Amino acid sequence: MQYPRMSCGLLFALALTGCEGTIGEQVPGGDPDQMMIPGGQGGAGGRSGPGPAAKLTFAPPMVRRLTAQQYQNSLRDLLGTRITQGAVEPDLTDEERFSFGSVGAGSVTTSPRGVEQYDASARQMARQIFIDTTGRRTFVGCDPTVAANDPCVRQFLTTFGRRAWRRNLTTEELTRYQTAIAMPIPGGDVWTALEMLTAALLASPNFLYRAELGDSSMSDGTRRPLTDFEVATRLSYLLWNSTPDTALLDAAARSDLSTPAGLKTQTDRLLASSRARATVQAFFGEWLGVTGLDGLSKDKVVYPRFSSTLGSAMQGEVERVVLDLVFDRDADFLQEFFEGRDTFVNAPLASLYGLPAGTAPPPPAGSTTSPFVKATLPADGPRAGFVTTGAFLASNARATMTSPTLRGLFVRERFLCQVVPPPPPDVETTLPPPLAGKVETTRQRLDRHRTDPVCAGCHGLMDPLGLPLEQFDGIGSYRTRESNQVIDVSGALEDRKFEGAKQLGSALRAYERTGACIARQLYRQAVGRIEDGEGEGGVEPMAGQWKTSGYRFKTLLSSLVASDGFRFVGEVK
Amino acid sequence: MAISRFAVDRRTLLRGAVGGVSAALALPPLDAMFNGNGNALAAGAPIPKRLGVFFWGNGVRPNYWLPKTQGPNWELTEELAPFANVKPYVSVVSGLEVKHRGAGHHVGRASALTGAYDVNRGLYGSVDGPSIDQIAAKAWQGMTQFSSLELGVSLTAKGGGRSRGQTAWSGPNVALPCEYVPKNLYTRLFGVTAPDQAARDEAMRRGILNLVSKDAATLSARLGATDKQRLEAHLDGLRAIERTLDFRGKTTCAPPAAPTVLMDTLSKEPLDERNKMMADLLAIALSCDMTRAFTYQYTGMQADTIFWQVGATEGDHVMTHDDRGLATKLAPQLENVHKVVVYIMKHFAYLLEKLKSIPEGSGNLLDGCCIYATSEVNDGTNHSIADMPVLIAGRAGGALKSGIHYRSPSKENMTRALLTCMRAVGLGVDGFGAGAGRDTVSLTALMA
Repeated sequence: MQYPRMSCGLLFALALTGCEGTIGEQVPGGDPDQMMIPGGQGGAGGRSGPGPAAKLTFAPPMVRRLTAQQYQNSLRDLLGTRITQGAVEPDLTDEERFSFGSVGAGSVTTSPRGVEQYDASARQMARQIFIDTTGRRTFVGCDPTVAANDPCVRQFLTTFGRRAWRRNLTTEELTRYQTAIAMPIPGGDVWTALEMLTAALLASPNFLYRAELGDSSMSDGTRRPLTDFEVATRLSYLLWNSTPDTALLDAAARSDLSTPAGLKTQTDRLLASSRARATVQAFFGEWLGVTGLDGLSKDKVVYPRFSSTLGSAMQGEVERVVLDLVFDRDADFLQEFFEGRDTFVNAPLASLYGLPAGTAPPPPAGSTTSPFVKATLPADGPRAGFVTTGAFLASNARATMTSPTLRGLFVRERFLCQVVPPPPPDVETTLPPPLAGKVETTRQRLDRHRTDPVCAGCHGLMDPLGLPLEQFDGIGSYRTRESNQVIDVSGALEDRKFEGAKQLGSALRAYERTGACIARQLYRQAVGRIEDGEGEGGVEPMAGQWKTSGYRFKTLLSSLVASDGFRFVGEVK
Repeated sequence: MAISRFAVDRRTLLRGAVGGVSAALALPPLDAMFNGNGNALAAGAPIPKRLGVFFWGNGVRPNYWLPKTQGPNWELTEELAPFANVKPYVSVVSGLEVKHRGAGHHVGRASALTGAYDVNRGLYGSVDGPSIDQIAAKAWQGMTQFSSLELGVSLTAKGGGRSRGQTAWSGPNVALPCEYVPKNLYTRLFGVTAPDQAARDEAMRRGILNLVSKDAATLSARLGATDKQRLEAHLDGLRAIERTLDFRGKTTCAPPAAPTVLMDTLSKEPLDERNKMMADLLAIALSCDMTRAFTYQYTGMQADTIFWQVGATEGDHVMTHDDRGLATKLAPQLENVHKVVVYIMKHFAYLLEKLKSIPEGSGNLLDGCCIYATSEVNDGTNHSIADMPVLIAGRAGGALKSGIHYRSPSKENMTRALLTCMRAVGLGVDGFGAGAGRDTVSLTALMA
């Protein structure tokens, strides 16, 4: 994936200077708000409050390959669940740095093997449809003949073609596909020919890639509106992660989506569906890195109580909390996400959190799955908000110990939308072993690591946001002492100093950047790219509306859909 | 399954040749077509040369890897001991250095595979050119059914996720994913249609390709430069399918028995089984001249494969950066890293021995190969990219002086190993790599 260009120039500078920097250092051509400049006192190069509005720009026209999940969902909706799909090329995601699968889909190039897989999958699906002599008649909807301009074939291409390609076929396309039916196929008949056309429609780039090119005839020289069908497609994949349904395509065909009221009607309709819940949950899963936690690997000697069951319980908690916040309570998202004590636990998680016995019931007879119940964490306890969840704490830690650095890096990247450079090459990234005869805390060892100026700059950006969480060990279990010493949980977010995890959550809630960053993450997911500067897509004004709404997440979704950044693209460069 | 008459004849012929032991060999090369000297095809075309890349992640433990002796008498160190049976075919190359500068594992991978690294693209920089297998694939395109094959053994990536295969590159930042499922590879190589369906199937497939290619071209014409390239690549993929159709019915190979289905889990990967299946299938594909270029990604860069087979309980990359900080525990972790290297080399040796076991002309299949093997770092614990671990296996049809340890006296550019392999198999390249990694000189000590 492409990161903002300025991050990269700095990387090279860092490779030469060894990650040292001075406070407020500027990178030529860089956007100081997004690139962290390592400084001695955790100073960020960026402003800490709103500054002059950045110039509004738009994402360029682009084609986005369906993600593997979108491919699967779309075909399920087009063909039904009984049709087996073939394997397709995996999504392009950054190998180790966070980004959305949808961003990779905007730049991925399909390998020859990938093209082969799409071809094979399309043929396999078409085969299943047309080998069923009753089902194929239902699928096509009429009785086809090989006659030129056969109306049944025409009707099939028009209706199924529109569903598959998410737009009306052009006259040229209709003619070309209809003509192909006359192609001689040894031992074939009209159904064989329709099977071929169906496979072609599903192997076509017009199905595999979402073209978001806009209507160039409506360009004002700097931007052009997406067509109604393109808006319908963007909306559908944003909220349902699947192809538009017939009602949405009909609305697009009527140009309803060009009016604010028409767009809102469809947005509300999609949001009200259970599909929106699943899709929004998946957005949070990617953004928060809360996926596959049942596979999290922890050292069995150091953390004997960790198990795959506990890992999936951690994931289950966050999945339930976000749905509750967004859909069921429509709550102040920032407040509840960073400071809330209302959550969901099952028995293993309640035990990890030290909640009273009986908080969550044991698995019912004959089952090993422990059910989740609503729970409120004690006001005088150590936990509140996402940064104290097992999911966050355990997945941002090492197999044998915590990692204040990884936890701090996560906060910078995910909640503040800032990029911290990686360690330069040939640097020892392993923490120094404890001094002979001394027992040290993780903080003390990190402090010694940071005496190396090569490391100090970048660590200064991350560690002060991770060290306040040191009262939670590598699986998120609470502790007050480490190596027999009382744990120091002081930390800082830019100029604001604080103590411990709950105050870190409050600092993040109060910080000006946080709300705008969350809006930006959603924009990245929706548009499928990392922005070129903060002005892109008008995210900041949108974040302002979100704030006015009292940080209701559904409002953020609606504002995003209604925004120019969602409905327009820039000009071809 | 359709087995061509020719294939049946050849199988019979081979049984006679090696006394019935051939059952395990599946179907060997084009021996019926060799001339009397065994050095060229009967029609006069030379025996094809093949180029392969074998890659593994996280480097080696240098003290257990590097032989002290140079020249042909290099000693089998602990990590090189698995090559005992193919030692005359394996050259150890040491002292080569990555000339680019950049982030951790990334700069090493880009340099070791492509000689080209763009430090300014993405946070960690990116691969900035094609890998050598793809140079070969392009040069030899159309000669074989598949321009190249990309195979993977371990499914696990860094952090315990799933590997997507990032070893073969067709161009800047465009990785070619690996096939990890032996059964899928088998179907791709040998999947055949019932004879009575073949004509119908081919007509339909060509009809689909015609429609879809026109769709791709129409869409491509509406795009800006970057996206246009992406759609052109898609069109290239469609053309590659057409080429495989052109080869249909012409292959002289009888399919071996289909591999069994393996567990698809990351926690306890069946690496012994998968490596054997992949190596066996690759050997057949090469011997039948279905492809001449390949990438064999044992583990990807920074892979966190859990090598439970050697007693490891943590990912390999995690082990190289063990930072529990307990001096007493650190050593066993790195001991496991060392055991992993030995384990991987055993599996690489299996592939080499397999190739060596298949006769071709007057020699064997390995004689005709140049297989370049490397990792993205030398020592994973500190990401060092000086003194990279490199093996060059095979004789490239006599172009390579095999079985020696060459230690560069002057920290030569890593790219020179890439040039050596490419030139050994007859690819006329003036130079390779870009920027600091660019070079035009090959390692003459390795050339026969």
